[in-house]
Amino acid sequence: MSNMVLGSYTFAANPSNMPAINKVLDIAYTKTYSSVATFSWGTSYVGLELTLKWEHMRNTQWDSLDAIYQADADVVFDPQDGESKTFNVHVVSFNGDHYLDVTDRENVVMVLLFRSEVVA
Amino acid sequence: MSLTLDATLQANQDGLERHPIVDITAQAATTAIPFYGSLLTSETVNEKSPAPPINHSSGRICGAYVYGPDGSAYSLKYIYSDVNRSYYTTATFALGTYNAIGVSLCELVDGNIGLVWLEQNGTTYYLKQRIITVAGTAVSNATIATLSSLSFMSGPALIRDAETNGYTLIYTKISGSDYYAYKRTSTDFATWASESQLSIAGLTSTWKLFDPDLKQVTNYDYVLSFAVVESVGPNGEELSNIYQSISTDGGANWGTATKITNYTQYSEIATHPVFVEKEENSGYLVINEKKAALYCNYLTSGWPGGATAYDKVQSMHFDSTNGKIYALMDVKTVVQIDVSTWTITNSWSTSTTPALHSFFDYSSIYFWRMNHSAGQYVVIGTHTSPATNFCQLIDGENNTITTYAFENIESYSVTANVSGWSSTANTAMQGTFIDLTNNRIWFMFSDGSTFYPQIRIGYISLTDSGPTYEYHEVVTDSDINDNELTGLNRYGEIKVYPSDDLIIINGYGSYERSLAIYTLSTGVRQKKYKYSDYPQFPYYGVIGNHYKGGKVYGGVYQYTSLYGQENIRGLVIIDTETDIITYSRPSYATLDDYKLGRFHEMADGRFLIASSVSGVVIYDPVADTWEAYNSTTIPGLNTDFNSIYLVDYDETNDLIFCGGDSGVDAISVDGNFEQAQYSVATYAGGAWSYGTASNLVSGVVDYDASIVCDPTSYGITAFWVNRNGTEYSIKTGSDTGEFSLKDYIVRGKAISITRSIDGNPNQLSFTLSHGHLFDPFNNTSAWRSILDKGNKVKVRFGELISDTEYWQDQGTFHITSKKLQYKKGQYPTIQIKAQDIRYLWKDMNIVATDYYDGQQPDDVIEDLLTDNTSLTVLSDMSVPTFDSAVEVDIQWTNTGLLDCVQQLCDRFGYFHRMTVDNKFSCRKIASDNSLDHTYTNSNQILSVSPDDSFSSFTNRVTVEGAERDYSEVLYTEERVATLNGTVGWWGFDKDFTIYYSTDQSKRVRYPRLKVIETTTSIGFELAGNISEQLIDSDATELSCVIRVEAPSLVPYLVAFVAAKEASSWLFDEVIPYAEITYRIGTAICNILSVGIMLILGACGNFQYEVWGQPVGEEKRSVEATADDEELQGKIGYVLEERIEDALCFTVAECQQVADHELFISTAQQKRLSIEKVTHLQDEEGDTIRFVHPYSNQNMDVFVTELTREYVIPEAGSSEEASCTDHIEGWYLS
Repeated sequence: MSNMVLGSYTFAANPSNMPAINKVLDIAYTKTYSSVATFSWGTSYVGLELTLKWEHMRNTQWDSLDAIYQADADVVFDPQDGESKTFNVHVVSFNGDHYLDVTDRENVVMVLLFRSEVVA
Repeated sequence: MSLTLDATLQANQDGLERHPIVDITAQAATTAIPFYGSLLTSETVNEKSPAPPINHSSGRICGAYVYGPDGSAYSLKYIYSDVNRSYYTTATFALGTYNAIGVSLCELVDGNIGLVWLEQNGTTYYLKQRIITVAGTAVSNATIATLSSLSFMSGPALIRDAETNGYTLIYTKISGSDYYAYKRTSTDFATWASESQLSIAGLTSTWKLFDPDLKQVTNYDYVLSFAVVESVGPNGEELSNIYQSISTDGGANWGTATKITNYTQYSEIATHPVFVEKEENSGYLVINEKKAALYCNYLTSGWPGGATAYDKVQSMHFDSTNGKIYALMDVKTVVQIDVSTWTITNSWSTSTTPALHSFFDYSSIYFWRMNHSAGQYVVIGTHTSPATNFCQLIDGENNTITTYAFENIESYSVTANVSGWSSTANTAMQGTFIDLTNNRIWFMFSDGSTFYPQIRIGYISLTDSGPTYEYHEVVTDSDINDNELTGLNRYGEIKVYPSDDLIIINGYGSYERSLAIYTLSTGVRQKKYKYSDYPQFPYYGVIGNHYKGGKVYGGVYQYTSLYGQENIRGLVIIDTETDIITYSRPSYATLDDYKLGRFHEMADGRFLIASSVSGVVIYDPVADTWEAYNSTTIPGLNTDFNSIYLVDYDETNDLIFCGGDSGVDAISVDGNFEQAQYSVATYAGGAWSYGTASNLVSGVVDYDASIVCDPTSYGITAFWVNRNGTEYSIKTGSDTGEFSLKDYIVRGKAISITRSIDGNPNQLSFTLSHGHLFDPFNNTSAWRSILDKGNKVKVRFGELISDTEYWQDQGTFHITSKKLQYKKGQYPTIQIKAQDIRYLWKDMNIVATDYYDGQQPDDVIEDLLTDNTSLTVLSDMSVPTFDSAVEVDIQWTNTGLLDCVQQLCDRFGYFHRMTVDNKFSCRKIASDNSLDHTYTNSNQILSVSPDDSFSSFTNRVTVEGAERDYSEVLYTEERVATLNGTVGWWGFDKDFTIYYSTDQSKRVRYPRLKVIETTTSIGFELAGNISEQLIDSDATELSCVIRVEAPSLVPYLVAFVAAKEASSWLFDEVIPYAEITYRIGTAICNILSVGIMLILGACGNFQYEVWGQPVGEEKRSVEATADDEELQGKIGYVLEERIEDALCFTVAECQQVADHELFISTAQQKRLSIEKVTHLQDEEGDTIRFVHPYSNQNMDVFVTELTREYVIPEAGSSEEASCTDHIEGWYLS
């Protein structure tokens, strides 16, 4: 699997933890007087929040990803997860701890908000 | 009738497994074009020359315009939208201090943007280019060419060839005394070839070519559009039209120029063409129509009477509050002109509703410019006989007409309705004036002419609501001679100056005339100026008067070399403190008669003056300077404009309005009027053809428009220049068609629709994301007008069933409010509220409906809506025939449209509604309606709540109506008339016809005479006494005759006088022996003298009263009562509600309404609310059978209100009901 791409940046190291990217089923249900009603609004990537975690990240990768975060704009995310899908996402959170006395980071967490799937 | 769903959708709705879908669209309430537009920025620096925008391959709209000078520097502004075309971002590229003329742009091969533009420094022009990214980051820039010693250049226009990817730019310039178009080409937008002149046949080389526009269409043809000056007038005015030339070989060769527009006069010309291809073989051509003035006359669309109508203006004024001009024509008509769109928006004549009095149809009626109107009021007074003391007042905003009749005009059945006013011989109204400061309408009357000349001035308050209006006389001035009075007759003017406490009147004409000044508060005359008292005052008087700072200004009516006035010309200036009279002679021309007439003082203190020989004149009383606006000073202006009688001024837009012999004209102090227009272009047979031009924008100083069509929806986005005074700004407008709001619906917030039988419009509310883009105050947003107040919103709910969408309309609404909040850290959502079209009908007051005589109620409703809305019976209404309908006789006055409809529905037990497919309809409110929907179980029920908390204890309803026909009634006897007079010895024998009312309409039966005072004397006793009798001979019962007879004593007087004369010859008898004289002759003579005196004393007054029983007609009242005896018995009280219903004509009809109202009252006591899963079949007014959740018994419910809510859940699963119906209803059984 190749490394993930966010915008024009290819990750130097993929996250150590990332949930599978799966469409979310939006469904409401309620119990009626004598039954239960379901209201399914379908599945979609829209609104999905994807959390990427790194136990350790080199400072160069941190700087590149932080620049994308600070740009505060939609970017294309290619997860390289074998599904051949890319997504328009917005980086809504990017955080991490300093790693010992060097400029690297640890316990880095990035949250991507999925805006839409990129239609080929 | 209940709603019928698609069978698949119906089956889905009967179940509980739902896949709901929602759609909401918004669109303009009417058509978006012509655009009103919004300012692109709030800049105060000038923004000009918008380049034709382009569709970028990313989906963005890209454009550019010139900004400046800011100080002395110019910039290029590049604007681009996001890929959704929802908002614009601007990038600025500073230029130098050279004047930037025009700019054009195209998308380069690599997606960047190429800009080319012209800069001018004297006679040197610089053709420059710049490459930027689509997001406005500069890449490179260069000068393409420097062109020296040129007196004229225009352009450029730029394209990228879709076939070759090469670039072509075109401009026009002067060459010697000729003009040509030139092109330059480039393959890389870096290196440009030398210019080459285009060879285009069909043009004269000396014609100036300008404003070139170049486009490439789908078949790769180049379309070059440009403006051509075909001739130049004596004052430098230019006549220009639009031409087009086509190149089918990438610009190498060009076809013969085709003339697209056909303007033939200097007063209206075409400039600035922009061609846009919409899709293959169709497009638009946008041009400027440029005018020196705006004209509104009998040729204008909407002019009452059309092309045969008369358009000589007799009064005209501008209502600055509402932006309207009102003009009164010589015959019949008043027109209202909306200044912002220069269209006729209303008119009044004898055939409109409301109508002017039929008197104004009289072909020889004259106004003589005697009326001074103001604000939203137009006063129409005339001294044309017989309506010499009659006037009407139009309230243009409220569309009402008030009549002031000072006296009866029997020939026109006019009854006087003004009190406090009296007339003498030949009283005639000579002038009127609207005083907005004190809300008064002033009148100037002349009395008596030669014999008893007199001027009277008074007013009626505009707040006097009538029907009788009180006249308050302020001035009565008898110190006026016949010549002065004649000067006021037809040629007089009254002006009231409330802040100066003055009234000034003036007249002019062929003999000595005068000008008089009165104190408004006391009516006392302060001054009167006329030649015989003030030899410097113009002998023939002045036209118009204007008071300012202790001086009265007026125009000398007529030059004369007599009376020592050979040096008196132009403007007279009277110093009212010193009585020194001076003159100012206009400097713009050397004339004897300048014919300066009506005055209007502008905010800067200068006077706008109408001149019937020089057009509009502006006089500065401080600097004593003059300037004139006419066909000489404004090239292209019609010569009609030189003869002006009335003027007014729009301070906001610097517009001068003029009234003359040919309608109303407007000119701008800041220059010409220019308005963008568009024509639909069609390509067929190898050529483009163009339809009739229509306004692209609504403003009359909105021009240089460029448009771009959305490649998918073909919706138009336009950018243009708006001139406001001396400031130029870019405006933008979009015709987005139906804009889908679906993608912006906020999850977790309900889309709620409430429909009720209570007569209120259906209500819609929902919340959208992207509030900042829908924000009407966000100038950078292209969506800011999508949710404008009044815009239309359509809602559909549906189901996704086996990947097929099934939709059911939920109604059409109009946005009534929107709310948005920006708060740090919070996403700006926008809350929208909307109602169906009936929300407008609530406030739509109808002065008078048609008179409906014996018509069915559904027909009446259809007619009401057809007359007062844009709805049509066939496509917009579905009004059922009412059960138990009867013919109705009614006419509503001063009633809201919705109230009229509501009254009809209430009478027959129906409610009105707008259906889900936006048709007006009605449904019956009844307990025995057929079942619309049956639920066989409680599976869809969420909750049931019996709730009668809003019901009352009313258990009796009484309805009172009136019979259709009138019955004759006799009222109690009363005094109905009086008669006074004098009789004497000369005899009396006269029949007095006595009417029982002054308007001769009152009928009286059984009249009798009551003698209050009569004359008795010995003379009459001797001759047979006075005879007084009432002769009731009038079959119409409108009058009676009183016959008064007194015997003539003249024969007796003659006899007595003769006898006395004879008796004077009788001797007295002398008895000598007794020294006594018996004065027999004297005695006889004395006796006869007494008789003569008794006869001559036989005279005196009589006073009679006529009493009788007035005859009237009244409709007999009818009434009926319905009782809820069960409740009466239960609570032991009878609580009655009484209803008056003008639509009930018999007891049976009253009973029908009473029974229905009692049903509603008792039904309210059986209210319940039910919350259930949505079923798209259910509507308000349905009768639905539910299963009682506890007893499992059926219960039938009449749905009085249904609130349907759709909530799209937040992401993931949640326990809530997404789609619910909340029903308020009546338990029936």
